[in-house]
Amino acid sequence: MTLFIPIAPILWALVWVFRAIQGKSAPQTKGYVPPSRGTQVPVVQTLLFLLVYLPLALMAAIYAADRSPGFAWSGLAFGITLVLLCSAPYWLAWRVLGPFGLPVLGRLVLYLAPCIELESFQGNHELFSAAFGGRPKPERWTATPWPFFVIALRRESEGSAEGVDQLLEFLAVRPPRRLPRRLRRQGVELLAWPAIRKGDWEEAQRRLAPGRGRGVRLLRRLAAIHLMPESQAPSAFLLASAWLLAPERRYTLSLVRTALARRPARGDRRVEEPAVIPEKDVWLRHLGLLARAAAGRAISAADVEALARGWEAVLGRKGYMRLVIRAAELGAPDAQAAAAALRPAVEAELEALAEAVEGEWPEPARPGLARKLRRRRLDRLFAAVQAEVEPFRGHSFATFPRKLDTPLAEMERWLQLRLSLRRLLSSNAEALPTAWHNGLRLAACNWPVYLLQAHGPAAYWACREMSAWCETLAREVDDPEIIKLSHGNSQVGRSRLFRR
Amino acid sequence: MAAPSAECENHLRRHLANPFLVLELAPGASRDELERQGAKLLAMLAAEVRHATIYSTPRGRRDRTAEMVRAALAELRDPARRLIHEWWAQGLAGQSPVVSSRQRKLPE
Repeated sequence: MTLFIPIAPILWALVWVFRAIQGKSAPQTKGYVPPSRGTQVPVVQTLLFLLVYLPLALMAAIYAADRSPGFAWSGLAFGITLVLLCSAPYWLAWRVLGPFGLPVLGRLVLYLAPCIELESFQGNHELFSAAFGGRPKPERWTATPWPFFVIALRRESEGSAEGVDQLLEFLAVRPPRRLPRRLRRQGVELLAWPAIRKGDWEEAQRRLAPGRGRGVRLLRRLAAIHLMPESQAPSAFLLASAWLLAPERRYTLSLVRTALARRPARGDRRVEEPAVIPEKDVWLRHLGLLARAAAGRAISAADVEALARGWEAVLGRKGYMRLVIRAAELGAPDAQAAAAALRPAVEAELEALAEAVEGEWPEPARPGLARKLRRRRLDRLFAAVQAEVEPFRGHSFATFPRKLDTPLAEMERWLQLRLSLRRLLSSNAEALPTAWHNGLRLAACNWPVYLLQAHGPAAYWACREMSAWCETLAREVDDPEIIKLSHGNSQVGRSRLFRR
Repeated sequence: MAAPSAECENHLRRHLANPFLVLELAPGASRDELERQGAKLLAMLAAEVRHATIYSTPRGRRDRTAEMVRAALAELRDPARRLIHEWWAQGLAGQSPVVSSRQRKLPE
């Protein structure tokens, strides 16, 4: 049999790939921006693919063609061999060696995995190290989605959920299909595992939300079963099917068995607190809420409002007079001042609690301490946004008062601004136009541009993400000038081949 | 999950280290009672008596050290600060706050 190799289409494809990975650079910005370097390619892995895996796949195709003539069989053999050769090292490293506690061997196997982009190659290694143990984060790393997962996992292992919150904020508006496959599948699974190990299924569900893939689907189903009301029974068939299809079945089997056997209700289901707290319980309720906030558990606005009403009753005129009398009995030099110091101290603690409130906080119906707390919280949230926005007001890139850090560090800072803005908007949805015209417009639009001017191609991805967010905000407040600018900036350095 | 609030943690820690809780005394205890209890606890801690190293709070048991006992005594020697601690200690014990000492009975 004669095997035809379509040389012309292969050459055309190679030329197209070469031109595509060069990327295009069309920033809608003023000032010099260094030109794109194109996509960086890991040399060893590319050569490995071209000199080993591709010839092996061709050999399989030739062998299949010899055994059973026909293009279909040889094509099938070529395709299957190539897919197996390319995916086997990843599977072996991520699903077998890493979970089995062999991180060094896993990293070595990852070197054999073919990879087109250097960023992806480095990202795989760093994420693997963060998940299964290994070397620390490199000092200089450009902003890509990979380091955000690495940072989140590393901070999680240090006991801080800040990295996870920033990452989830980033993923909240980013379509998962624009994430590298490894991240939207195993990256999200890795984020959820610490919460699953702690039995915090609510948190696990939150972390699994942006993920895709069979593993994520199984964990999401498990979380849904743990959070469903006791009266509802989970479907054993669906759960078993999801488990059979999912990877790492050895590790998830115990979770599936537990879910099917116990069918538990929510582990830490909160008992609805009464809206009015009896006077003698106010202190203990206050302590309970402080403990919740200190542990990072959610506090509702209703809890804080009820507590504020309770304190209003306790700290009234009658309570103050009792305090003054007692201060005099104790021999305080200024009994009134000693008694008056109590209310501001309690209010300061209530403010700390109000700071920890998650979600919407509608304006309380009647004036009082609760309304005051809400107003102060809004002021603080607004101030947090303004603190980041202020350097952009009245300054160009040349006179920008703050030294711009690396793109990765700047993106972390930008995500913090996004979190602050989200908290502000969840408290008061009408705050966006106010914040926008108070300088957020300038910060959101100029920040990526300044970053691009300072760092050039290393900031392309950061610029695109930041500008896309700015465009979304501009559409919400209907600002055509910023929509146009940000849309242009969100295309900067975008490669036609690897659209993310 | 929200980030743990460091400010709330500080407030919580301060309340759980309320001098009356540390010294295991009723909020209306006299100055002499405070000093006697402080000296007794310090002696027990110096002798490494096991039960003296732990005290109860509304959020469970906590460790007690000689430094905490000394700090508690120092806090309660200041009438203005004692007033605040007394108010919190009574509230956390579920009692009506700051009733005059003449009307109060010491706990058993």
